[in-house]
Amino acid sequence: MAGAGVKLLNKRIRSVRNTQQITKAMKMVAASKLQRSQGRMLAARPYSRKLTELMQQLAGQADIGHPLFEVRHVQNRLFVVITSDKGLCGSYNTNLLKLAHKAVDASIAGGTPTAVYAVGRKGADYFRKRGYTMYHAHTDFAGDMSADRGRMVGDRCVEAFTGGSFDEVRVIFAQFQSTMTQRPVDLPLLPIAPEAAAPGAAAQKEKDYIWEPSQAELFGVLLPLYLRNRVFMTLSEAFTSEHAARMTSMSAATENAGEMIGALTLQRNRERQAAITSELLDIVGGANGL
Amino acid sequence: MARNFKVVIVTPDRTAYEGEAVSATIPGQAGYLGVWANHAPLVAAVSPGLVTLRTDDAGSEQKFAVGGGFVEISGNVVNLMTDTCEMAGEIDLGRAQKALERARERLSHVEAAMDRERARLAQSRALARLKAARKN
Repeated sequence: MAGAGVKLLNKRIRSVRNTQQITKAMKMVAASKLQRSQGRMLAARPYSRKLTELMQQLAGQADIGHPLFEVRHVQNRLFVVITSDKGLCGSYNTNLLKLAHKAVDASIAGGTPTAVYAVGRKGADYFRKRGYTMYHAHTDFAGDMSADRGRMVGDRCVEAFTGGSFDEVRVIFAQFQSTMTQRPVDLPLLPIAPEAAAPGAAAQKEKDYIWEPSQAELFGVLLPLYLRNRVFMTLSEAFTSEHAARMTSMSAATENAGEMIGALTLQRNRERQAAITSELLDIVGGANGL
Repeated sequence: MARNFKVVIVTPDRTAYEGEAVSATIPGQAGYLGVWANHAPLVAAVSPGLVTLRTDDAGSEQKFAVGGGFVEISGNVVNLMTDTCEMAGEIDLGRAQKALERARERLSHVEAAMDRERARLAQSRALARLKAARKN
């Protein structure tokens, strides 16, 4: 009898509806996290801008060698790969890891021993499982940024570079372009690229500054701060991207579930109607036979 | 003539203060800097310490405990970039007191230069916090 089909369909509709409720909740959580993360990113910009400006002014005036600028022959390369800890964020990690995998393989193929510094469980698992050299991994950030975490990652990068274990540090993360688009990029972190320090527009409004202490000394203090800040901004941006990706994909999942419920409901109603019709036909046929 | 100038204090996670002041005292690495309107352009390293802003001629003051960083002064704008900045009201006295004791304790027996430096910084941060909180 057709009643069994209707029962089955009802069960499926209920199950899809449950899933939809979960994805909807996750979307809402991601949205609020995105907002917070984005707010934090914006709040951090004035400091970052000021610091960069100051550094450009200094770099423009003083031709000072600093260990963080030192370009060495690259014998060992380190990739900082920033992914999320958890899934359910669409193709966010897939895209990142695809780029990272390619970059790391290209580096190894070029004859340079390469290690991975994973921020985020997804990246850590991915590279560990495939037997790549891991420099270090963080799996407990949970997409939440703080100054301490920025400092921790930044200091570790500086240590790796100045300690001589790595001659180049690059960072792979998802740039936040909009809530809908996050673009994975592969950028150099250390040595600090000369163009990052090149006198930009900021240095043009040249002023006769009094420097206290000397420019060279100031530079020495400023550079580590600058780098730490860059790492901080990079991480904030990556985490903002993660929340955006999660929100978008959960929103899509909720929509899909809605469509599925619609289609299933239609099918159920049709089947129910067919069952009623055939029963009616039975009755009518029976009545006619009398 | 402008007697006021603008003060902006930014930390890595927020803009901690933005407002006008008549004069400011900033803990430079080589000693406290007194800043009045129309100060010459200056870039200086800042040590952990107490920042005092006089906000009007009547002598109202605002105190902040700041971490290390930089100050840039140009065109009647004082830009202070620092790791941390707390207004007098935001400071947890008990915590600062404990931090101070811890730092002193470490300074009394730790030998490594690196650790001593760190402890010294922690000590001056804690002292700045206590000063900022008490003088209100």
